[in-house]
Amino acid sequence: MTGNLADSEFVEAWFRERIEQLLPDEPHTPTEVRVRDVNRMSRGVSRQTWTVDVEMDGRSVRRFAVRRDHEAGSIIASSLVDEFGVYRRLEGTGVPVARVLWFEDDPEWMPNGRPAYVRELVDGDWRLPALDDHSPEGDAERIRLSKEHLDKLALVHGVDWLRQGFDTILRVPDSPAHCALNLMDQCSDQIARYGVEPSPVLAEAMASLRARAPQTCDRVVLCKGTNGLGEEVWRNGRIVAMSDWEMAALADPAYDFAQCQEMIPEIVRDGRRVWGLPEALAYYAERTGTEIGVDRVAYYREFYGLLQFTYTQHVACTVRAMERAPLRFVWTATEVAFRSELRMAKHFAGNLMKEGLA
Amino acid sequence: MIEPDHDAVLASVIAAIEDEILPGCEEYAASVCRTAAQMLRHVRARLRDEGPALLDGNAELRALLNGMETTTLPGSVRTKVGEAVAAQPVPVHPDVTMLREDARRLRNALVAVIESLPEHHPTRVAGREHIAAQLRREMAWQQDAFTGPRR
Repeated sequence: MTGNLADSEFVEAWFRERIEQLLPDEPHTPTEVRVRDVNRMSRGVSRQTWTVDVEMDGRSVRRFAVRRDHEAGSIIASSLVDEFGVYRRLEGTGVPVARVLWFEDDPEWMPNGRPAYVRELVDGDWRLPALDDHSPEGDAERIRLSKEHLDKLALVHGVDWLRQGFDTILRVPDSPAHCALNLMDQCSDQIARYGVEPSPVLAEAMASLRARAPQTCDRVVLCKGTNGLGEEVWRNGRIVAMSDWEMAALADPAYDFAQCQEMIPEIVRDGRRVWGLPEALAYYAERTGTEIGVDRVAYYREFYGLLQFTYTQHVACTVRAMERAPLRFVWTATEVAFRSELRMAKHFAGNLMKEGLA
Repeated sequence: MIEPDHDAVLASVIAAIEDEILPGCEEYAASVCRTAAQMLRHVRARLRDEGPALLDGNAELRALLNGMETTTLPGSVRTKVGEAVAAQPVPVHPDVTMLREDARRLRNALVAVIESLPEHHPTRVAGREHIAAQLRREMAWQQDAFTGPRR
């Protein structure tokens, strides 16, 4: 049977076909499933995420997520199957992630003929209203949330990546001192494949980043990539699932601090520093024994321009090949690409960016 | 960056209106979507064709007026024709397609220079100043992503 993801009848037939994989931890496999609702989530640009509400055996309703590429492909160059592989390899490590159930590559059941994978949907919210409370009374909660996030990053960084098989899907640096150069080579290889137009900004940034690559990293860890607000699922003040692993890498832990979104607020009261990056790094060092200097984080923030440039050129390559390219792809290939250039040019052109996020 | 160019951006906006927004609209809003897409097609074609069409048309008309027998015309009309024919504008900017090709060649050369000279070589320093200035020029149409309303 073939069908599309917006068609509840098809999705019901598909989930019935995979009924044994729906509840892997339950002692009894459900005998009947009914799809109650199928919706596309508007958040997230890199790939499509759909929710499917399923009633099982006429009783409980569970929610699942279906993840797949856009019709035109993905924004990020890492493949859907590797994204699935990251989740699978994180099972049993203690890192909170949604459990992946199956990867659908059977042509008979792939919705719209495209591969997809199904995972449990963890109940929670990506929003954290407490972060918007900038009053002194809100400081303690903002710091607590920040520490919760740092604790979970430390868990990710503590994963035995070799044992979990991450070396089969992520590029491995020759040594901790080669972390930055390894990422740079990866970007360089990808950019060469995309047939990018000549970019003096890129050439200057590559030369500069290569010359200044930090040598002080003492261990290669599993890094999540983009993390923080909007990237994790929270419930009752705790992270219950870490999402969006498309930029995962085996790298310097500073890579993750550089990509942390809004979870390390700068708090200064009466001229005294209460919280911020140096304090967060000290807290992390206490928990993990790994020292990271603010200069290394600053380096990887600049490096993020190269990562951003790389994925925007992956998109530009897709856009060039299409007559009617999706609007979000075109936006990524224009405005996000421009932002990546501003970020890469920061060390010689000054800060031309308007906001510090993303 | 040069790509995607304005033509690719407009094609994509038209597709988004017709394929993604319009199907979810009620009757009147759907009708406005169709008109909006049509007007964007107009802009797309106009950006591509208006320059050459005006150039050809003006040359044709100038030749016509220039070649006509004007002695039978009233003096004021003769003056008007003479002034219009003589007022041929000198092109200030070449065609944008040619400029883009020129930019690709020049930037390719600068990339090669960057890759073969040390960081503090005067040409590298001047090159970086040029890049910064060019980024500022592009800010006239490039919005820094993640600022302002978006997805």
